[in-house]
Amino acid sequence: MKKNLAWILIYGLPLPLLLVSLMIGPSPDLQLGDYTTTAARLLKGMGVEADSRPALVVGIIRNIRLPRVLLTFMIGAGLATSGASLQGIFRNPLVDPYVLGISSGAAFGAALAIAFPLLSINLSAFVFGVVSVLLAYLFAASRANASIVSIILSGMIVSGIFTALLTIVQFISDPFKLQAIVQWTMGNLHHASWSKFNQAVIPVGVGVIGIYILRWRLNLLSLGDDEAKAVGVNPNRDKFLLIALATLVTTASVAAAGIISMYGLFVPHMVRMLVGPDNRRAIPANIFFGGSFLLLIDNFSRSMLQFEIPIGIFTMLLGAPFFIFLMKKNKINWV
Amino acid sequence: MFIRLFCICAGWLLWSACGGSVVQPLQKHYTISVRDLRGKTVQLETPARRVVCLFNGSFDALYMLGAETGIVGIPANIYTDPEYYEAYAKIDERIRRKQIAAPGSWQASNIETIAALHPDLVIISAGQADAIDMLESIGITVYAVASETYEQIYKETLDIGNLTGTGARAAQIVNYSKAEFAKIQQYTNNIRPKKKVYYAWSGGRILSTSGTGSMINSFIELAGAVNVCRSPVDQPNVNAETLLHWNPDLIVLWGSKPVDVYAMTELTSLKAVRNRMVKSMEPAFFYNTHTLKILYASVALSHWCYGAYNDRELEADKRDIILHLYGERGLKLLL
Amino acid sequence: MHTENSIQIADLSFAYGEQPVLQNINLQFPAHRFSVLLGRNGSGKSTLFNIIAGLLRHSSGSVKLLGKETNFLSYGERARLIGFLPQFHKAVFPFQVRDVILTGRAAFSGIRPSKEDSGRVNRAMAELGIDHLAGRAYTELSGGEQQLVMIARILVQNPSVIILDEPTNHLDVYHQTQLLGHLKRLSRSSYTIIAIMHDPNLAFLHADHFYFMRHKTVVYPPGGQGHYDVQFLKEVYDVNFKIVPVDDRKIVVPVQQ
Repeated sequence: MKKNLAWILIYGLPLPLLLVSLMIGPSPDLQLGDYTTTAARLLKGMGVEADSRPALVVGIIRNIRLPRVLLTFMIGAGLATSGASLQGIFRNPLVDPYVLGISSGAAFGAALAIAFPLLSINLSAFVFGVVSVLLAYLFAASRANASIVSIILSGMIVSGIFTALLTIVQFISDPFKLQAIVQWTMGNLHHASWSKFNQAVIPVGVGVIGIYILRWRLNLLSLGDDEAKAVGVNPNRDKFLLIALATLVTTASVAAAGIISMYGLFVPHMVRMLVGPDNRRAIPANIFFGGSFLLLIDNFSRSMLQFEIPIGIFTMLLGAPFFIFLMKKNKINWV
Repeated sequence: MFIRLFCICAGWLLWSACGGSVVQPLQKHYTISVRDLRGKTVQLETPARRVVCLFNGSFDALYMLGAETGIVGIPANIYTDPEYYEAYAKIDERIRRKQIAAPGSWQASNIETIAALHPDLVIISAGQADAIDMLESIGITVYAVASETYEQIYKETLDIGNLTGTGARAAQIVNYSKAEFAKIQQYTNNIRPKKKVYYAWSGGRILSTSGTGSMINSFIELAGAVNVCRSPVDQPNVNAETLLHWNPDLIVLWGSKPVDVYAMTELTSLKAVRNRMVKSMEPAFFYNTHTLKILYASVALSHWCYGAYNDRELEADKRDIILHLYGERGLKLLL
Repeated sequence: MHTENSIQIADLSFAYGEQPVLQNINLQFPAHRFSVLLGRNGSGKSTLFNIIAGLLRHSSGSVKLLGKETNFLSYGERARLIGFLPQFHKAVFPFQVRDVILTGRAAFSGIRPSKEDSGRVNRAMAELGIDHLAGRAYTELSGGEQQLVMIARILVQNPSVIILDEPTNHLDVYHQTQLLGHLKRLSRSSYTIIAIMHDPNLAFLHADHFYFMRHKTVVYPPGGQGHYDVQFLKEVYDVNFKIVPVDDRKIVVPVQQ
């Protein structure tokens, strides 16, 4: 019974939610009737005339809501999946997708592009996000066998360096650019457009599918390096591959939507509480639940007020109670 | 050896500091006295001859007042921001050669460098409360500014005029501005319906605007138009859908290009886009709404909205306004 | 007497940097037997374990697993030959026991375990009598149960040799006896079992062959394999012992000087 409920929540929710999300928006002048008449016209194959109300409905849904809804779902799925795989790889429940410095690197890249427009903001964020992971790996790998602690530590150091650099950029920026930088780092799904979706879909898609394929290997890595070697597997190859995929997903997400903090930390935990720790079930659950939960949250932030409420606010306001509810119910004690 | 020397110097400094305050007459004769927005009375015996100004709006005002020769310290971004540098390098040879110290900015300042410049007046953002306290504690006269409303701009211009001995000139330009605004008001007062204007922030942030209570809102209202964003938020992000709902007659940009808007497929059905009514306030120098040039910004916007006259006449208006604000020499150098 | 050897070590020396840890080791472990390597802490047992397990590469001498030099084995080849049980393992995520055991097939079943793999898991659990734990969270098991799960995990890998580092550490007497009993049985089916231990009596009671390490090398009793006496044990452990016969075996009791 309980299992079924979790299953419905994870796999039954996304499709209806996607459809409902398309009908949610801040436009007070779109009524339910508009959707039905438009749908009726389209179903009858009548098409819509330019400048008619159905044309407005179609325009809003196709050009504004659909890319937003798809991008949000994709980013939610991406952050949850990469968070889950990094927690597994590092065998640490406190790890989030930004553990290797991606968020700070990307924020610095974006700020740099805002202050000195040489590269596009997205591209610059992506490049510096990847650079930060490479640096973290490089710092840690200077010793023959990089331990988990040394990788996480060097991730923190890299993060610190880029935060310092970000502060410099913020410091020399005028108030307007500073505001742009701050808003970027708070998450900016309201900029969602087809072009942003198109930029993100390939890296996020490749990364998520890659992690999905390797999800059973993740179980092995979660037991530790020695346990992998004990049964004749070189953990470093799998680890490298999975970190690369997670980096691809996270960096592309951050480049497209800014920093959505905590999401990639707590969703994998929720999923573990719903379906258990076996990644063969947890990874697909992260993809679907991660996507639809962020979509649900974003529906609030884009429709509650006339202006956008930064996504990070509702991720925590809605995510935290749900997380605490699950935690109390499951009584998971971390050792 | 050095330590001894240091002690002697320190001792002498201490002695002279104490001695200085002892021999000072208890009653100074202040001829200039103004009250800044902190409610603090700022007094000078004689007009300031050495002025450090770390606030861009007031810095600009010093040129309108003809008090620029007294400037000994400027905001750092006058040098680092190409847009500012280009404009002020034209009207001030010392700026062009970067000869004036830049001991701070709108958000931070170096107290020691400021003190070493021996200013008799420091004009600084009211936000830098700690820096103001420190400057005043070492006996430096500080005038705090904010320029958040146009009444504040008038008052600050008049005060700075008094403090720098250019009170008459200050009264002249403020009265001129008020009279010009009255003219626009008279012209736009009876126009119905008012044009709806959407404002977008710099750096391609088309979906970030400015709500009521902001300087931007004032300038739109001064131009006789209506700001479509009615939320009392300084820099809200809005959904593209909300913008479609507002459907403004005109979109005005600051530091973004019209093509940024025209390129957004989700906005193609906007009235302003279809009528090619997306206007950019460039070069930004002439439209700075945190200075008396808010007059020109309003004139231009009013012109774009109601088309009172053609572009050539607008250009003539611009020359006229610059002539009144910066004088003959300023006009020749700037345009 | 079995003459076939699973592991042959000849002239093996090893150093961490300038610090020699193993010197001139010559040792053979017979196939299908339960052998124990004994010695004091710091005698080099764990390093030797790591070299046999392939966690460390040796630069001088030779270590052959069923006739193949370990340094040249790929991960896949090694997986077929040897599985090992490291001394410390601490799971973070509460995986079910059956999922933990299933990871033992990782070297063979690429990205996804097969139906057959699940069969192996069931058989391994049955073999060790832990079927009832299948659905439990690994992290909630007792130390002894965890050890059995990890051994089951190696069984599904189906290697020729299983080598264990201090498998009875932290276990109570019941679990110690049970575990060693299992190891003995496994050695009688198709496995060669090698365990590193420091308690000689547990080894004497359950194992077939005993090897002693002292000062970075393997030492043999003067009377030949199996003929250890108090004098020899004192050299190995720096403790005086009294040998007591128990049934057909001997155990040793440490005595005060």
